[in-house]
Amino acid sequence: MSSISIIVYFLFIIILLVMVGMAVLFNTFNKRKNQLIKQQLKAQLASQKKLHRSELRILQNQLNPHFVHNSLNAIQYFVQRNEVETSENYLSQFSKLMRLFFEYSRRKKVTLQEEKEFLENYLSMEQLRFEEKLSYTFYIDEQLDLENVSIPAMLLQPIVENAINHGIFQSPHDGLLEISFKRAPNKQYLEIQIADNGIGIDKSQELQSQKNQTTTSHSGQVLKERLEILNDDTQWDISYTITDRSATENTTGTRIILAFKNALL
Amino acid sequence: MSITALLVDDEPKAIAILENKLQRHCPHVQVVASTQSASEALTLINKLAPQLIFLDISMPEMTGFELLKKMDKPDFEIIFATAYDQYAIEAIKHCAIGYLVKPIDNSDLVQAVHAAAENIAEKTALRKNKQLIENLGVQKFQKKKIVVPATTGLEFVVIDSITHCEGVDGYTKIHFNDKKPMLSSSSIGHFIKLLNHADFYQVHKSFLINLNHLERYLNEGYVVLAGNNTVPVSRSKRTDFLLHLKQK
Repeated sequence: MSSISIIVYFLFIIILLVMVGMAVLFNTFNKRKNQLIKQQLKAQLASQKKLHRSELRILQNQLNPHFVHNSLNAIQYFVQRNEVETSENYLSQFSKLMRLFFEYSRRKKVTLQEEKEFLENYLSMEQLRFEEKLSYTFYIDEQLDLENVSIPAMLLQPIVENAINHGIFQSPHDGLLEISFKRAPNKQYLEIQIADNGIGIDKSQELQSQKNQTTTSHSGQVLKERLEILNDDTQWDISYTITDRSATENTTGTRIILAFKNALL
Repeated sequence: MSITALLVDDEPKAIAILENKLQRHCPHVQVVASTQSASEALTLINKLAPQLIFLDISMPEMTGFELLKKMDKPDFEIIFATAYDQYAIEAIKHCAIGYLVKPIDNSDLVQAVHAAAENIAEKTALRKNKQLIENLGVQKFQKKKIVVPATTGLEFVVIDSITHCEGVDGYTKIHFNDKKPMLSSSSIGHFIKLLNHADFYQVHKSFLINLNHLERYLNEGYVVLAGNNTVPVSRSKRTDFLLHLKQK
């Protein structure tokens, strides 16, 4: 064999080795890439699943069957007593509320004006049941443009319902619910507060854990999840605090403060 | 024959509604007192010894269940009332105690009062009420007892001991892992509703099985349960049944 053919022979082997090496490398890279994509997809799927589950739970929490049946029961009272006018009024009011429930459940956001009317409607139905045991006040900042500031739909009503059912219902005193829409102190964004004078969150949670061995999700958890989902969307940046009023104020009860940092005023 | 009754509900409107309905549809029920306060109810029960108590479940101070727990000798018939509480209704049904959902349907009321009147004659209230109290303190579904009307009277059965229920001509034969089967006058449909839990599966229109006692699934469409009982799985249920087993 001539030296040239040996060189050619070696060159050929080297080129072959390099090619095989490249193929192996390519293959490993490819595999790794596919793995990464798969992992990403899996993570995406998992987070989507979690999202759907939370959304479902939110939906399930929006219309409390207890409220529906109790309202109808209270209306039955006026039917029995032949108070035609009152029965009619409450029935149509209840129907109006249900309509809004369904409409807002499908919407992403509502104006503060819509939210206020919705809550008033809801609260007057609850008053039908609780009578003088429940009263409420709205504090609305006069400078607020209620028609042009929006918040996520169906966010406040579950909080208010919770304040009634777990705070005020359990308390022996007459209940007062205070709802305020205003500018956060020294800030440029919207702040909404919901305060009740019921038994307070600490005692309420204690009672809950004593009573329901089976139901695990409580409303604080639901609110937290809801806000997490909303905040994933860049449109919202909402933070919240829940305090037991007995710690800082001269009353029992719970105060929830929602800060809408993207809702600039 | 008249029945003496006490009405307990924290909402005055609910009491008024019920009183009115009773006057119209169950005139033999004689309302001896009514109260909005659970603690007052305790006093009234001791003082008046009513035969029947209409008891709201969701009340502030104490729930209807808590009130029951406070009684030394709850030997009165109860018809519970609630607007909505699946958990509570299930517990009540397990013990064959009466209940009504609000707003109360008139024919449901008549039926519940009729059943209560029969129970008063049979004096079964104390045992059933005590069973309810006991069950409320038991966390595990399988460890609870259900009250089953049998030909010999009421039977108190630990759920865990049931291997399967078999529908036979409108009756139900209940099979156990530790004793001879028992015949109940209720239909299989009653037990399907009563044992509505992931541990139970209706594999066939006349068979409800306790998955805790499932030993084998045979591909030709049978399950083998503890005690070597073989039960058919209907063709239409097979896929869903296997899926249920996987998810459990």
